[in-house]
This record gives sequence, C-alpha cells and structure tokens, in this order.
Amino acid sequence: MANPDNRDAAAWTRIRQSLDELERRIESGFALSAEEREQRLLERTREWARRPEQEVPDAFLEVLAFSLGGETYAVESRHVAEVLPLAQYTPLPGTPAYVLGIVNVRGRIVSVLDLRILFELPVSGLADKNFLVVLQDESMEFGLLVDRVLGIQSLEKATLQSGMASLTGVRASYLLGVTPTQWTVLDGARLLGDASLRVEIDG
Amino acid sequence: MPLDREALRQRLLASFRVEAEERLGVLAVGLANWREASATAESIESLFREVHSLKGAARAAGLGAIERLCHAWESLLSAARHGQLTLTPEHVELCRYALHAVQGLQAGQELDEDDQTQLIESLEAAAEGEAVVLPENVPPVQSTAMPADPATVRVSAPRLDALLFQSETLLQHKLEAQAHARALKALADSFQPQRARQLLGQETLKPLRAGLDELAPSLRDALKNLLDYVDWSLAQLDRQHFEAVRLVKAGQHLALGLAQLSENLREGLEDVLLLSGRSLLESLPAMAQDLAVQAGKRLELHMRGETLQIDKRILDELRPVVTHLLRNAVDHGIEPPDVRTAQGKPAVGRIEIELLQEAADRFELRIRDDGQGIDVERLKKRAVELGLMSDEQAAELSTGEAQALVFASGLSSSTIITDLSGRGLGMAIVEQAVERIGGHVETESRPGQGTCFRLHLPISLSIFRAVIVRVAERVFAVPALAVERCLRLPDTAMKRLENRPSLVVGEQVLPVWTLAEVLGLEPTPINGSELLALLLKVRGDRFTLLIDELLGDQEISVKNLGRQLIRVPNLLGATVLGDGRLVPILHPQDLYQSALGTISSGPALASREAAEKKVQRLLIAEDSFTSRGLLKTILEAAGYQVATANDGLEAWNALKQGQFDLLVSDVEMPRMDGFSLTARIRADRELSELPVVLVTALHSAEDRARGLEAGANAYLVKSGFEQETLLDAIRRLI
Repeated sequence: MANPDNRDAAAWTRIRQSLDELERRIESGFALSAEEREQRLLERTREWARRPEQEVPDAFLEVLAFSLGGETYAVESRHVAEVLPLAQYTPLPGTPAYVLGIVNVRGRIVSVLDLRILFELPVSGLADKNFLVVLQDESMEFGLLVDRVLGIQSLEKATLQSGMASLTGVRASYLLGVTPTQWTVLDGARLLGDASLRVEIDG
Repeated sequence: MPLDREALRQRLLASFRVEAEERLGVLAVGLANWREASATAESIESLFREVHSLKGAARAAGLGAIERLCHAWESLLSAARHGQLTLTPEHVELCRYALHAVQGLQAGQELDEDDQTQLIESLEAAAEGEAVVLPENVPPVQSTAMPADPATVRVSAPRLDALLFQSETLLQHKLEAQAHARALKALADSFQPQRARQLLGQETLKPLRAGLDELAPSLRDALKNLLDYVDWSLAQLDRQHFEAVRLVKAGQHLALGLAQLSENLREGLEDVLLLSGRSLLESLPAMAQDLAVQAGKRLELHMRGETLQIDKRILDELRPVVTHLLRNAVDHGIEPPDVRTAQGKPAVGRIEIELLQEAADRFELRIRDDGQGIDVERLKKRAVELGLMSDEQAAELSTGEAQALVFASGLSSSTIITDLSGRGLGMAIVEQAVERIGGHVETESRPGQGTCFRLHLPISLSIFRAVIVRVAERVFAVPALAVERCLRLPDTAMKRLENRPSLVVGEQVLPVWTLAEVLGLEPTPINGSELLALLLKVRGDRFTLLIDELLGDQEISVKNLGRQLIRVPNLLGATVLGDGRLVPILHPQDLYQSALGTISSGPALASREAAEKKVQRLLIAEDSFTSRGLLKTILEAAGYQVATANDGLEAWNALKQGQFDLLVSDVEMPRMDGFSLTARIRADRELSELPVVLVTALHSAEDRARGLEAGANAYLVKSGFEQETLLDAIRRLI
C-alpha cells in the first residue's frame, strides 16, 4: 500500500518536471534537440528505405479480419463482396448443418454458412449483433456468419505460418496460414471453389 | 489533332459494333432460312443490301478486313440478284462461311491471312460462275446476335434487374410507411382518454383560483404556480394532440402515395418485362442448322407464335431449356437422311417450335420433331442397367411411365454420347427448370413418327400462386398448381390402413403424412379435434400432408436459393412475402418422394386424447319437443354433455347460471326468439364469446343475414339438415 502523501509528492514532482521541460521548449522556440532531430531523421530515412520492399507485389495480403466464437479469422478482401449486419435469416430444412439458412441481400438470395459447424468447433451463444461477410467469385457466392468485423488489414505474407499442428481436420484444408498474432487466415478461393460445399442433390 | 482522330475512330468503331451486330443477326436468320427452302429473289435482295451496308459501315470504321470480305461476298450475292447465277446449296454454305468469318472478325478474333484470302477468292470465283471451292478451315461458329426491333430500345438485363430490385425495395418502404402511419394513429388516439375525461375542467380549478387570496402567502404562491403549470400543461397537451393528428394525416398521405407509386412501378415493370417470344426463338434457326451440319443431318425448322408476349424472366429460364430440347431433337430425334429415305420419310427432317397462348396467364411451348421417337425399350434397359429399377418393374411400366424416364437423371436414350447432347442429365435439368417457374412438361412420342414436348408455363412470373402454410413454427409456400384442395377434417377422418395412416376424404382414402415429418422437422402436436391438411396431386398421385395453420394464398415471385444451394431436397426456391419475410417454396414432387421414404409415426395425437377427456357441455334451445329430443340424441351420441331449454328466455337463464361451451338454438321460439337470444348473448360481458349455432326452418337470405348480424357463428337450415353438418359446424367452433 502506497502512502497517499508519498504519491502526491511524486505527482507534484512530475508536474514540476514537465513544467520545466515546457519552459525550456518555449525558450528554444519549440526547436528539437540535436539528438532528437538526428534520431527522427534517421527513423524517417529507415522508413523511406523500406518503401521499395513494400511495393513488391504479392508480398502483402489485404485481408478482412473478423471474430467468431472467440477466435480471430481473416480472409483475403478480394473475395469479399460485401459486409452487412445480419438481422435475421430463414432456416431451411434438408440442408447440411453448416448452412444456417438464407438471407435476402438486395434482392438476391444468399446462403449463410456457420464456419464453427463446418470446422467442428464448439458452438457457443452468438453475440447480440452478428454480421454477414459475403464471399463471391464468378461462379459462387455465400455468406459467412461472423460475430464482429475487425476491418481491413494488410498482412505480410512471409510472416504467415502454414501447416500449424494445432489446426486439424476440416479447418486445416481451408487454411492459408496463421499470423504471428494467431489469426487464422482462410483460403477464400478454396472455400469458394470447394465443390463439396455446394449443396446439390440428384434430381 | 491525333487525339481527336483517335476519339473519332473509337466512336466509329463503337457504332460499327452495334450496327454490325444487328446486320449479322439478320444475315444469320436469312441464311438459315435459305438452307432448305429455296432462296427467293426478295430474300436475296434483302441479304445483298445487308452485306452492302455492312461493307459501307466497315469502310467508315476503317476495318479493312471486314470490308474486303464483304466486298467479295457482295459480288456473289449481286450475281445471284441479277439472275446471272442460281444459288446452289454450296453457294449457301459458302455464304455461311463468310458470315462466320465476319462474325469472328467483328468479335475481335484474328482470322488467318491465308484463310481470308482463300475465302475471298472462293467468293469471287463463285461470283464468276465457277465451281464452289469451300475453304478447308471452318471458321469458328459464333453465337448469332439478335436483330433489333425498331420499336424497342435496348436496355441491358442487369439494369432491368436493378430496377426490379428497386421496386422490391420500394415495396418494403411502403410497408414501413404504413406501419409508421399506424403507429402515429395509435399515438394520436392515446391522447383521447385524457381529453375525454376532462378531469381538470375550468370549473374544477375555478374555486381554487378564487380561494387563492385567502391562503397564506407562501401557500398561495406555490398553488398559483401549480395552477399555472396545470394550465400550461393542458394547453401543451392540446397542441401536441393537434400536432399528432396532423402527423397522422401526413403519414397516411405519405403511405398512400408510396403504395400507389409502388404498385404503379410494379405494374409498369411487369409490362416492361414482357418481351415478345421472338427474342427466345430468333437465334434458333441458325443454331439448328449448325447442329444439323455437325450431326450430318438435314432439317427444316418451323416456328410459330413468336409475337406472344412473355415475361423476360420466364424467357431467360427457358433459353437453356429450348436449346437443350432442340439439341435433343437434332441429335436423338431426326434420323440421318439415308435412314429417313429408307423408311419412306422425306430426307429433310422437320422440327416445329410453337408458342401458343393457353389462357390469359398461361402458354404452351411445343417442340415437335418427326424423327424416330423415344426408344422406350432402350430407356427401360438403361434404367435397369443403372439400377434405377428391376427387370420386373421395368416390364410393368406403361408407355407413358416409360417415356417419363427421359427425365430421370443419368439416362440418355442415345447409345453414343456425342458432344451435342449431354450425358443424360439434360432432361432432368429441363424438368427442374420448368417446374421452378411453375410449369410442367408433357411428353408424347410415337416410335418412328416423332416426339413432342409440351411445356405448360405461366406467362408472367408474378402470377405464380402459392399457398402459404405454417408448420413446426416455420412458414412455407406450396405451389398452388400442385394443391388440389385445402382440407379441414375431423380427426375421425384419420384411419390406419395396412398399418399406415390414411385420411378419408369423401369417397377416397389417401395416404397422409405430417409435413413437418416429411421435412425432417419436429412436428407440433395437434391441438383440438380438427385436422388441417393439403391435398396435393403430383403426376397423377394424390396424397395429403398435415399442416399446423393455413395462412392464405397469394401471388409470389420465385427466386433461387443462391449459388451455393444448387438443389436442396424438398425445396424449389424461396420468395419474399409482402411483409419482407423470406420464405422457402416447397417442391411438390420432392415432397412426395420424401414422404414415401418417411416412416410415418402418424401425427401426434396424444394431446387429442387429453382434450377428449374434458367433456364439452352444450345447451339446446328448442320449443318443439321432437326436435329437441332428436338434437339431444345426435349430440350425446357424438360425446357431448347436453342440457335443454324450452325457449329463449329459459335458455338465457340457463346460460347465466351454468357453464356451457356452445349453444344450439332454434330461431322461432316463444318469449324470446333465437335472434334476440343471440344478440343478448353477444351484448353480455361474460357470454359474448360463446359460440352460437342457429338451427332453423327459415331459409331466406334475409333471415340468414339477420342471424349472422345478431352474431351467430353458424346458421343451419333444417330442410338441408344433416347430422354431419351440425357436428361438423360444432367441431369447427369448439
């Protein structure tokens, strides 16, 4: 337990120090100290020096990150047609369990898939508000149910780890890689192109 | 300036593309007609003009290759036009080559320099009357473009779809506006009780104000403030009420305006979406000839009824269907010329495609060929080979049933798989596509004489009617075409025959399933003693499905289930109801198949037994002793507990004292007649909900109306009186 008096004293000292610092700055007309200036220039140089490397095509992935069932996933943004709040959906009988149902997106019917069931993960309660991430290519379109959309991010491809031992089963086959921050990056092209995800009974 | 020149060139190219597309379309159709029918002077003249104009347009746009080709082609047609040359089939074939070459160039394909030179030389040589040398390399077959109808404008399909979507959105806004208007009305109405009571009228407050001066100063000020506040509040309330009433009017006005706008837009779009059948049939002659050449067959195509106006969405769905049927006719139907000649048929096969209006809202698309017909024996054999049925089953099939096998997936009557016809999946897809838009297919085939497919279809997608039902807490739409009747039956209509549940409907005994079970959903137990069922008819088979609730029937537009759900069992598609709800549409054929595979436990009737234990009490009011006795016997036999009264007043007293579930009353009675008794019951707070059945000898329409006006739930006339009618009426009510 800190003595309150001591704490107050420390606070006062800090305030005095910053006031002194401010005074010094005002006197020098807000100019940077020589070292500081040098350091900033160096930083900037380094930053600029890195640029060309960033422009190498394919070195980065632009992904849409989202959370689902307490985990963070990402999928390449080029596969994402749109993201919208999911108010309600119509369940359909006779579809595989991972097909939650259908929704009406601007006059089009889009099916809603639950990745947790597809990946055989425990299904706990959903967040109050859910979102639909619509994936699309020339011949396929469906929506993924997600808890929260975390936004567009740029990921360096080289940092992605593939073939994580911890990811097994179905999930591994749709995996593009895992980021150092433990995001699961899904292979959108494979999801969209997977014929086994198409529901088609024989007439 | 070079830039301007480039811009001009681009503009010219763009306009050339549009023009060339139209002219090539006309040329393609014209040439296709030449194939078997002889070319008339008129049609040669018309084709010559097209080629000539195309040459001019190509020159203007600076497209030398097309210009040179057209020039040579024009010389050939010119020679024919002046009668220096009689067109032979080889000439026509050469013209087809020229057409394909120009189509290719137009579409931006590179044409081999040598091929082009050779084609030009052949054309020129032919124009000089020399023997026709067909170039070796056949230019790739191009799909032909449609010539434009001068009275129409081109609108791209996605734009139309976008408009359609807008009209759907508008419909949603209309519904929302109506909901807002209703909410506003409720808000305005909520002011009424406060105003109506007038608890704080001026009279109430007057004495208080008058007495102000007598109070102590501190109290006086406080009370004065309070009174001022009350006055102000009342005035404020008035203003807000007034404002709310104004908003109600504005809201209703807005909702009405939106409703009209939405309706007009929908109707307008429906008209816009009606296209002439020509757009479906136009490309077929050229295609048929290309197919015939590839298959080494000869045929003439006759088309009728192109002017029929049909919904664009239907035409879009039909395009692959017609293409497929035509391919089948060419590939499987029409025999090679030598076979035909040997059979004494004309060497040239004949295919007829016809659009016929059947009714105001339906049409028939008929595709008939005079080929070999469907080989029923071969179909059966294939079906057995594929394990679809046993030999015995195959032998028992009627001709019609066997012909229906063409729709079975995986079956193809052609022993050779060619690239023309598919691998037996085609007809299944045809049937599916037709059913999806609310139509059905009929097949007629005579061996050696040909096959005829009749597709019965709606003219507009918006007139696809569906029955909306509720089952296991979910809502589904059932195509009305398949629903023969909606049944409301006593649960006694359910029997167990051959150890499976059946429903007795009139004279028939039909198999019954609960729809929920067929769909694999948890069935809700049946409450009460009444069954609600749909009587469906699928390809001649009748069966019944129990439902929880009938929500009505309405026009719907069919949408598919999205690209991922290509074909889901028991579902045909989905539709958006008026309130914006997305509802699956059930597939009647599938339902029957699934039902046959469902081991029905029979509908859950557990709760019914519980319901029966509670005996229902009825009161009979009847002055005639005989009638009273008869009614009592009938009702007691049906399991009710029955009390009687000799007239209206006595009945009234009995009702006030005892507990009854329903009243059966005569109309003409002393002291108080049935009408007055009913009216009195309706006006009574405790009895107002009591079901009342009036039984009478009066059967004028006025009496019936009077009975219903008084509040009777049913009105039965004694002359037509049958005990089932009475019991039925009672069961409906309690």
